[in-house]
Amino acid sequence: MNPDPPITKIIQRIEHDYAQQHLSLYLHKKSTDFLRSRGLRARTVLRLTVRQLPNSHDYRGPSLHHWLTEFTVYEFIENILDGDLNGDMYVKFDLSHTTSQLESIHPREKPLNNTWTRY
Amino acid sequence: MAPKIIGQTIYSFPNQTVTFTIIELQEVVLINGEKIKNTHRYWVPAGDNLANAENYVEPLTNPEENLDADYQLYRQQFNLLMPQEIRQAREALGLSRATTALLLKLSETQFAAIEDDDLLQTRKQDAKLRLLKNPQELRTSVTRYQKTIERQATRYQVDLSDLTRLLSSNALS
Repeated sequence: MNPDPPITKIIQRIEHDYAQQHLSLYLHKKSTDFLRSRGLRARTVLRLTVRQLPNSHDYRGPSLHHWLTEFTVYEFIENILDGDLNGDMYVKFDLSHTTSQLESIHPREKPLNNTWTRY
Repeated sequence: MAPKIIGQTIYSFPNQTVTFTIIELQEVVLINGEKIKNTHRYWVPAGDNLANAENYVEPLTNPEENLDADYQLYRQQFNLLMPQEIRQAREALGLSRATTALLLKLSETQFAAIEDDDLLQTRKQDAKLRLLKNPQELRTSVTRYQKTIERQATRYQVDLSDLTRLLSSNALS
């Protein structure tokens, strides 16, 4: 069994997919309700989260997507200080072999526990 | 309000094809603290509970469809300036984004995001932005607070040459 790739490889992969426009939006209502409450656009938030990703944050993963069988899931708590997206954000990316998607973005709801790793 | 079923659609993920039920429902949502009532369309994986909002996904073919419709309605309802109107008004005054943000007491990032349609302005911000459409009032405000503006420009390293040019010309008359 291959070991999990280090988180830096995953971040590079997300950045690459974003640059290649292979990073799509699979957003649940909860995320868009948050965006709407701040007057934000999904594409703007996607850009901000990808840009912030290489900075030190907390992550969890990989885990299996609960029904999209080709995707593995990586969750991040990104501390974003960008005026309109201010504070700890919960961000979830799903990665397949060929594409990736942003599934969640909203303020962190629970305190961090030992399932999270700082990078 | 119960969701209305509009139809079904098939979407292809890598190595997996998924059927979604398309639903429509009227919702009251909050935008910048204001309530807006609008009809939204969501996709729900076939077989999932249509009454559970946790299953609602933004349309995968246009994930910003509902946001776009809401922001358009919000702008109409509160008579907000459109991003292109803001840009045109600023450019007509010959002002940079940095100078404009300083004059309007907005952060440059925030002003740029509003002008680029990355961020929907609040009603309070719109009231400030409207100064760009009223050059006389803008000039009165700038003249009144010129010393403060100059101090802030020094602090934030904003080049005010466009403002000086503006105030000394007839552009605002």
